[in-house]
Amino acid sequence: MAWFRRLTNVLRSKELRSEIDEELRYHMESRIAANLATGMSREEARTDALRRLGGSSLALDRTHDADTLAWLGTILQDLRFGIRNMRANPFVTTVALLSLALAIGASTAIFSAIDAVLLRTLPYQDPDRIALFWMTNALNGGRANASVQNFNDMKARTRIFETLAMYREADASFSINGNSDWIEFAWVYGDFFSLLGRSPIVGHVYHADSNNPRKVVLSYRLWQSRFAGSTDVIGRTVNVSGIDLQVIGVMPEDFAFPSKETQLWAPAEALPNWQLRRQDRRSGFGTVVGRLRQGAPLDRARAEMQGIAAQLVAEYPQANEDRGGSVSMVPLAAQIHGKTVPFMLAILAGAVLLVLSIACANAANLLLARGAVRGREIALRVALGAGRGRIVRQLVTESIVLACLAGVLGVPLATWGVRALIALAPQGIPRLDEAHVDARVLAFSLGLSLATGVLFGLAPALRISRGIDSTRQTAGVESRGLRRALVVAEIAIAVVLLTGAGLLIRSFAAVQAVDPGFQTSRVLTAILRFGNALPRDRRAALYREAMTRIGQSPGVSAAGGISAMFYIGDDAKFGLRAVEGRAPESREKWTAMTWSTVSGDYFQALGVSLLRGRFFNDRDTRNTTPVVIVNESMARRYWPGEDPIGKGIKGFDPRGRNDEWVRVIGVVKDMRSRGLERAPMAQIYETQAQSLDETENLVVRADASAELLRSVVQSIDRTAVLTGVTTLHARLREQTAPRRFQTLLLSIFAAIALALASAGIFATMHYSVAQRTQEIGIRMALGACQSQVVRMVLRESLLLIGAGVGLGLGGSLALTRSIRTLLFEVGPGDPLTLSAVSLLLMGTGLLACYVPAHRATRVDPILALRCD
Amino acid sequence: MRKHTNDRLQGTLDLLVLKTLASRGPMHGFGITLHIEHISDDILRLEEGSLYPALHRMTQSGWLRSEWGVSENNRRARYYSLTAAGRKQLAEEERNWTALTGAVARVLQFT
Repeated sequence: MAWFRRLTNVLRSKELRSEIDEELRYHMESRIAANLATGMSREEARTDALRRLGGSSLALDRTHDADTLAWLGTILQDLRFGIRNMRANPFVTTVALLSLALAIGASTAIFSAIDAVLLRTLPYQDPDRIALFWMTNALNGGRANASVQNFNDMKARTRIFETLAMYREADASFSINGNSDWIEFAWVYGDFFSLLGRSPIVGHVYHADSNNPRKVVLSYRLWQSRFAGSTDVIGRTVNVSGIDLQVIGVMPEDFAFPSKETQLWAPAEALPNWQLRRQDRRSGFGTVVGRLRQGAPLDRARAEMQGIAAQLVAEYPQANEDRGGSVSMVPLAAQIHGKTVPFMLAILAGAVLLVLSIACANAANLLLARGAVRGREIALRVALGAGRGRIVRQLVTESIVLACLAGVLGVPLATWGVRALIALAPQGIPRLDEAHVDARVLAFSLGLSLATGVLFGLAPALRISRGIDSTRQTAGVESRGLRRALVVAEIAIAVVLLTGAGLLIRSFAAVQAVDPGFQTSRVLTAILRFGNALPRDRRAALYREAMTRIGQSPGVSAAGGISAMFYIGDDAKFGLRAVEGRAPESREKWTAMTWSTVSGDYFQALGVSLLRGRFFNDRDTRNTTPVVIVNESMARRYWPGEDPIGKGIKGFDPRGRNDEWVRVIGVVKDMRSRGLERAPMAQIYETQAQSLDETENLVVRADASAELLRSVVQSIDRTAVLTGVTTLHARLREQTAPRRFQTLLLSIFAAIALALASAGIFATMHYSVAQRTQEIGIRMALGACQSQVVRMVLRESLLLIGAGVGLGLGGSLALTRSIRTLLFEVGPGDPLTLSAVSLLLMGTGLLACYVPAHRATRVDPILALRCD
Repeated sequence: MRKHTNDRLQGTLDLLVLKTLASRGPMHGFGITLHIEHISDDILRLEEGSLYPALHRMTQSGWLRSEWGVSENNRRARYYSLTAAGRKQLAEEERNWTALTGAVARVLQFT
């Protein structure tokens, strides 16, 4: 335990020294007394005693070192000295501390988000060995679900997968004791739960060999919200999609597969048409998920599955005619993270690291500037025998102390930042809400602080100590070049960030300015569903009744519904089976196209104007000629320069009696139904009176409240469920939420970068003027007027700012390419953005020089010449 | 502990101090100095500057125990005494010393 006592002795150094001092003093005095006794003079006795001891302070130091961990003592001494030094320079310390705290806090916040979303292991057993796959549709490149028979063959033939399971995401009515709701859930088939390797927290999970498949496993969320977390839930009956299922288990809270929205898992065998599905190789069921054997690489699995799929297409060419495409296989993590979220986080991480590097440059710059001022102190220490290594260690210790203090200040900032991040982030980023500052994040923050401390401390320390070695007074001049380089780098980085933010702001403004093709104000939207147990034509009739009843309600001017309103991220290409008077078109000519069903006054409610022909009316029924309304894009695509009214088309499903021609009766304006950022596509609308499809997406032009809608809907049918009541405006806002989030965050980082770079310019010029006091004094004594002095200072600053801006513009041309996919109607080298950023930096930079320049003019020549 | 055994000078100092304390009981630093000078008829003169670092090092190593006491002339002085570990160390140092001097003697006797 000797080291432990020596460690604690480091802390009681003062006490220890006085004890040793007393012990040595006793020795000295005893020796003097002994010497006197031999007849020496008092003077001789004293000198002899001192000589024998070899100098009293050296003996004290050596004894003291024997009692302590000497190196630790030196570090503590450095620390104390560093803190004292920081307190002596409150200006430098505050600026450096604040920039670093801001940057470290922001980096830590972003790291905790990345950690929660991307780095933490997914809550499934060996998630690296789980992969998902599907086939692509040979017709249009869309996703083709595996059919049950194909799946069973794949499972039997695979050697690389340990086991396979299949799931199908669905949404349907959900009721307990007659209380209706609508939920998202998954039908699962095969070893779904054991494959993922999680057990339920209550009850058990379904096994495929069970003879009664009418079972269901609930999500933690549903269990909490509908059963208040009671274990009595096991054995209760719930109705999903019109089917009664018995609850057998509840999954843990973090079990969120296939998605966070999945509220329950029901065995596919419980589907009413299961026997048919099982035997029909043609009808697709779902996505396949597989567990790879230990050590099996994904590439081999993909190749194997590709081979099996090809075999199946060859063996059952008719049933698999649509599945001739390739097999797409992705690891579980890639599927859960998606593509946009990692990209977004990478952009944010890049931005925050740039901010951190500006803060580091700032701190290094301030240390250098102070090093120049401290030249004499350091020269004195060298003269007293301090080695270069000792000086460097002292300076680096100081910078690490600074960085760690900043890290500590950054922690509350990071905590707040994470909360803000979660609040601002667009919905649906998996696991982001789990982000928080914990031990892992704190360890990262500590590491980051230490690294930044070394990073910004080492260069100045080496430079300052080198300056001492040569000619002691020139340290300031020597480091000036490095300091200027640092400021230029800071400005350049700020320019890059500002350009990025500027381009995103311009893109955001452009997106906001897009005309969606419909009116968004005073339009309510909601999703209206009727129980799955009702027959299809009954539901269709209910929808029509709902549109009429809502349309006649007070305050409502028009109400309608559509089967699908927005097609975000849907790129599937389609064509028509036949166009009257034309040869069939080849598949290569297919483009994005949709065919949807509307009910009520859908177009009127959205304020979409009719360009030609007429809207649907009551005379369009199942017994009359099937009719459609097309949009401009559709009209342009098939009948350029012609009047489409009255033309006949055929889709891939037969319509009307004897598959007759479907007639175009009207042309409406284009709507941006693929999102504001994407061009409208060809759209065909038919009326529900002729198609029976559900038109669950309600649009109501009204000054009415959601309550009114709810009460009307409830009076129509007791199975009616109205969800997602919001304004159309809010729905569009939700679509642009990721863009808003990215733009906002990048703008915040750019603003911080600008502030830090300005502080850097200010501090550099401040020190530059302080150092050149003598020179300025001489100039003024020789007759230079104030404006000349100001010009001199400004020229120096402009040179720095100009170099930084130039470098930054070059850098941003290269770096903004990486965010090209985020830009909308603006190029990476947008001249307006680039010039605005340059002007902004020039302006801010010059403003930052104002105080130093002003100070320079007030130099008193007499005082200036007298100093030194 | 081992690292001093090859350092003969240091080892000698340790040996002398340990032996003194073993034979005379608790003593303060100056007392040890006087004792060694006296016994060796002034031939061995301790470098007093090294004595105190050595005393403190041996205390930290657990060979010695130190406590403040009152000296013969009624002043506060630090007294050192041997611990069990110190006794063991002394035995080892003595063995080393005998081996060394024996070896040196044999070399000198070789004609």
